Amino acid sequence: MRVLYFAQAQERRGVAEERCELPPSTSVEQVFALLGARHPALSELLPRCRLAVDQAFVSGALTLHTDSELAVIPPVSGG
Amino acid sequence: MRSGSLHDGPLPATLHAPTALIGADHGATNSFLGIVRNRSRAGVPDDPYRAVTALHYQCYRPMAEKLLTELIEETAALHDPELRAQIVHGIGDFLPGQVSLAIHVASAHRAAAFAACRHLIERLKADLPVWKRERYADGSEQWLKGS
Repeated sequence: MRVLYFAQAQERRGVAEERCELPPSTSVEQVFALLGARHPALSELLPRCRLAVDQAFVSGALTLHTDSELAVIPPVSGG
Repeated sequence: MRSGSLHDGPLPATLHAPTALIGADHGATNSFLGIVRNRSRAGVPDDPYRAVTALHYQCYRPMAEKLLTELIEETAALHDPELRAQIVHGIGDFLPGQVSLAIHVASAHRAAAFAACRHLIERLKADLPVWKRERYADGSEQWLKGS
């Protein structure tokens, strides 16, 4: 699966996207816990982020596939 | 007409007015333009309204495009099944005073037009995956922490 980072998350992670192995049956909380553990620079920001899978916000339990596109969405500031 | 899209750079004057939505069966339009301000709300204690010299908008393009379409459909379902709506959000580099967002709606009557426009801007501010990075007079830059 791919994980995309934007704005502050991209700045902290240092890359715009990466390949990542995550459990197929998981949850938003678990994904953020794993990403935070792998990338300590992200851990402070993640509680303020939302997760999108395949271009839609998700919450709670998740089913991921090898071609899933995850995106870490920091607080948005469009308009 | 219902259309939500992203535009590379500042919005040209042709997008500042609801011209494309005008029709005999829709008696009222309402518009919201977002304009890049020259003062930041992310000030520091000794400079609470820090001067902004430039702005960069980043987006998660496929999700933003999908969400704009969904927001228009949601708004039509809530306020007017016959709603016409056009949203264009600028992406990339901007200077203060340039237009970064245009929301235009048209309805049979004014109440639905006002309500739909308000609903669209509030939902867009909450959910559209777009982020602004401010540049200041001293050359420093930062991503805003939400708006």
